[in-house]
Amino acid sequence: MTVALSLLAQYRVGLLLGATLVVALALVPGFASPITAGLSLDRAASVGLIAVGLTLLLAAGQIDLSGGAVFALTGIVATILQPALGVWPAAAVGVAAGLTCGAVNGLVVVGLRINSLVATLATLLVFRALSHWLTESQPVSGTDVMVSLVVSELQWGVLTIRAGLFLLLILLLHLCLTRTVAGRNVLAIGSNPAAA
Amino acid sequence: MTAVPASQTRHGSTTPLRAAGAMALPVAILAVLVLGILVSPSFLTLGNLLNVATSMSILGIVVVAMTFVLVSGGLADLSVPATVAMGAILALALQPALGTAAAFVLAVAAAGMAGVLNGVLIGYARINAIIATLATGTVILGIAQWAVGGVIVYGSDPASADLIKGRVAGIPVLVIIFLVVAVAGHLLLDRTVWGRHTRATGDSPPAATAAAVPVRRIKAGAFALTGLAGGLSGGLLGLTLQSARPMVGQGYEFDAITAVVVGGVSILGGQGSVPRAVGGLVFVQLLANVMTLAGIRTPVQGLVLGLLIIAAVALDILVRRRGGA
Repeated sequence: MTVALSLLAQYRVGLLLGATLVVALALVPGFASPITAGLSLDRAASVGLIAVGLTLLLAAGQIDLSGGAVFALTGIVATILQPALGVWPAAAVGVAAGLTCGAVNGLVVVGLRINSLVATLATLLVFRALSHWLTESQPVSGTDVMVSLVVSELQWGVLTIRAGLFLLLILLLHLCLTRTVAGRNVLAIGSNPAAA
Repeated sequence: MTAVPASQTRHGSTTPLRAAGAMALPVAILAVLVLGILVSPSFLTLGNLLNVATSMSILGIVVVAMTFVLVSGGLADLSVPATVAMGAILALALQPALGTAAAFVLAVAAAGMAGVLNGVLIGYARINAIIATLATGTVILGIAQWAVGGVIVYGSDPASADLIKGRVAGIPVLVIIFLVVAVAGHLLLDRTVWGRHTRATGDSPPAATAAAVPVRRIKAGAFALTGLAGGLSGGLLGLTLQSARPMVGQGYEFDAITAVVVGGVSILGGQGSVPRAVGGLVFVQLLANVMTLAGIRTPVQGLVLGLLIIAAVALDILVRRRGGA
């Protein structure tokens, strides 16, 4: 009985996902097609990419409230630089901007020893302010519509680039957390900073 | 942390620093007042100051309750936007069926029940407060939307809006309600056993448990309070606007946490008071008002506010020599 319960608890997410899929397959016509799977995965990937990063933070016992603001700022930077730099360099600068935001968060939390909840609440306001500043609070659009087609196209019938990147990062993070010293350090810090 | 040994922080060399910490907030508020007078002739007018006071009152009710959450070591209540929305939506939606007063009471009670649910999950089931309130926020908002079956609800009793937006002896009714809540919250935290227990719980849960403090009940109580306060705040907001959308409470959680933290209440729990939190609220609201009068755009205001939080907390850590906060 207790073994069954603990198994249930250990695989609860998988079971929930399985149950959801079964219900969806039974009730929603056309749910089983690879296109549905590919598009669902693509939609999950945007939030999922942030979730991959948050996994690492939660494992270390921290939180980041500024994820959404960084998401917006990165997208805005990547979009408004397109006319000047071209699509892909602009995207790279966007990612670099996101990285900078993360570095700022890290600096405030570790350097100033501010609780991550409060620190990322503050940086959330700052990053959001920067986004509004850069765009004058107007929506911005890219120069090349074809890029969005490439990004959201299903490769080999199932995976978009975004979804592929998402799966790849999950795999990398999993290997990193379980197989490397740095990963195990993160888990150790999360379970007991003093002992670590 | 740095050079000064722990023993010196209690007496001797850091006392001036500590005094500076206690004086920082009043001085900052005074500085904003002076800045406001310099920036705009319309700042120091009764009309403008009453406007600021009125607009901070609805948020202020949440700030008072959020102080209890932080002091009890409960981190923060992120379900506030949902309880505010529930209060606003139910207070208006139930008006035709129950009458204004009964609808209002029921709306506040429903939000209070949501707070109790948070309290049970966090205090008794020991789920992390951030995760728990994030989850219940979604559920509460869903229930409130489902209950009215629509997106926007409108009020059907304009007289109630006039009452809430009116004045008694020159003071806006909303401000009076806020002051009553603030004074009650202050007395509760500072003068009662519950308040002492709340501090003890936030200071060190194991020590509090050892001293026979009902730690679980105290934590649960703090979240029940934010639920009630969110409902009250939302109900008043609904009556003021005479309409309520599910997103009506958006940002209230962060604005409330900002005020409490800028007031110098540690997010690690154990210390802080309602007057400090209200001081933080007054400072932030006055600063926003001055920036608006000075023609500074909203995005830049966000920038200033974000940096302000970091500065306030960093100063707090420097003064108290306590990791985190």
